[in-house]
Amino acid sequence: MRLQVVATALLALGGCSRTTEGPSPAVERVVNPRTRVSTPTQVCNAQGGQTGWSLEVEGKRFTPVTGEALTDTPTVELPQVTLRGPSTYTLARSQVFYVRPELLLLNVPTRDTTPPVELQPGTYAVEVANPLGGTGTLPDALTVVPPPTLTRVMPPADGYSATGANPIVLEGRDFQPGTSPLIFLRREGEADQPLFFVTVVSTTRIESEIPPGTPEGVYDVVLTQPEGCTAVAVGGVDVAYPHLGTLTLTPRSGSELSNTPIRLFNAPTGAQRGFTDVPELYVLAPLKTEPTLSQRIPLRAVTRVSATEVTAELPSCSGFEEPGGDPKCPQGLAPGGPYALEVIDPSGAVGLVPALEGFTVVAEPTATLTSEDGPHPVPLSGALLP
Amino acid sequence: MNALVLVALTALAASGSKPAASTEGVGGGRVLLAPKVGFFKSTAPLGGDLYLGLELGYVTPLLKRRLAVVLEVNYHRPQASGVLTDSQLGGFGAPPPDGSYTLAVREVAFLLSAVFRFERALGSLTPYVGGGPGLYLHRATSDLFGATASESGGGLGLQALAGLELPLGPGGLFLETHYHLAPLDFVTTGDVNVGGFLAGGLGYRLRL
Repeated sequence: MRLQVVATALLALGGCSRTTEGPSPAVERVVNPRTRVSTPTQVCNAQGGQTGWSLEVEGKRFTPVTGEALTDTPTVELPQVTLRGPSTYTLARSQVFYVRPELLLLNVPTRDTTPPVELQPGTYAVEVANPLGGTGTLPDALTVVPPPTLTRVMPPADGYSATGANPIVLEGRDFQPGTSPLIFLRREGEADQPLFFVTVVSTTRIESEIPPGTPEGVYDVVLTQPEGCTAVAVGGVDVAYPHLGTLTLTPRSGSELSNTPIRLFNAPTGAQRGFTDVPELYVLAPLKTEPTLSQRIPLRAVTRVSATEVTAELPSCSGFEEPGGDPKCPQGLAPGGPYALEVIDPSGAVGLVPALEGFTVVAEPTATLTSEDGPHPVPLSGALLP
Repeated sequence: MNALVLVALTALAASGSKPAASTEGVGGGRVLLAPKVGFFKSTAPLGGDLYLGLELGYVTPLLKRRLAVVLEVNYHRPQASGVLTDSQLGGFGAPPPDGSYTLAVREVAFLLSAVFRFERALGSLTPYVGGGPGLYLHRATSDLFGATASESGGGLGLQALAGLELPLGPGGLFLETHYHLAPLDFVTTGDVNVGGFLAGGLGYRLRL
């Protein structure tokens, strides 16, 4: 009798308590797909759009199970992911994606997502719990960093030069020494222009260079950290070069079938500069081979006569090619115009012969296409002067 | 593991009750022993499955020996299968994995019933009805994305039965039907009644 009572009690206790059995997950690595090779993996606690920053969790035995499979709304019960560090956050179901037993994808929310969640900066462990299995944890798997802030962009001490690199200094907060952030100059209607030499000196200072040939104008400076957060200094850079004087050209037209010797006169006043050496000269014109695209074609045989005069050969016939080729000049400038000329003095000063006062390529009877006949060329966006 | 414990304990309990049963059975034929087999269809969206049971009963002297107390242990393991689709599968451009799944719900139930027998009320046939509480032990096993995981637990439920017994040899051949109210609330199953009908249960009841 006693045995029966004990057996019944054990039976009830053993049978009624809820237990689960399943594969226990192992977390091996957390990857920010934006900086796949960097360690430790970083994620920013701001920005990230509506859903936050994407992270990959690599491991083993991530095991979803059926959820409410015997109801009218069967679903998938996913592993639960928790970030444990200076603050603790368990990701919502909608922020976890299952790809395969070795890979989960996460949308880590930030203070700017909907709803906002601000993780405190610091090092976090990533914990994955299978719905019916155990829990796997990877300590120090993730570093949460704050977004950078740009407070000031310092221009070159001696002003901008059109012929050399222009060192600039970005000042702000929460930069990351040892990383390689991306910095762009951004202006409406133009493609972003990257800065290639970037050194993060400290958490408050980045040194970089604006490359030669950057067109004049006011640019936003966009700093993007490797993990994805961005800071913008609106109108942070105003590229303005020293200017040559008023430039005039003679002759102002020439045949399409021969290169045209020209003389260029410079009349500086005030702070404007004369020619200090042999300048670079470009004509902004389309070629016959690509009549819809305006290009920056260098003039040939440029010679400095004085601070106020240079001579050169305008390549109406040869275009980018060496002179002396086909006498019909198929590689030459498209007949039409007048075309503007751009001048860059070795001192870094720039000047422009505007299109209205520029050079016209005259069509010959043998020509088959003129700019009046064909489509109008697309304006050149890379011109140094607006 | 729980099942093994349960089987062992049940055997112990049964072996412990044998002397009493034998004592009652001598001369009175009051102990009932009945293996049974049938087809069980849950009211939940589980498929039908073979139902195996073993009943041990005692015909009490109450109500002119028409009232029996019966303890039954039974087993069945129906399953459901399908394909799950979910926006959380795949994602970020990765193709979703195949969401085919199988969910098997094994049930071992211990049913204690009061059974009222109408001895030979229909010619030589004995109809009977009964009901009582049950201890339902469940184990749900999910097979999804090539991995298997299980959860186990138990709870109390209710059940009712009706049957018809035809005397045959030392006992009687019987047909029986059950209804079980066996609530279950697992992650894998949801909150459902996995009980249902045992239709066409067939067995042979010995009177010892």
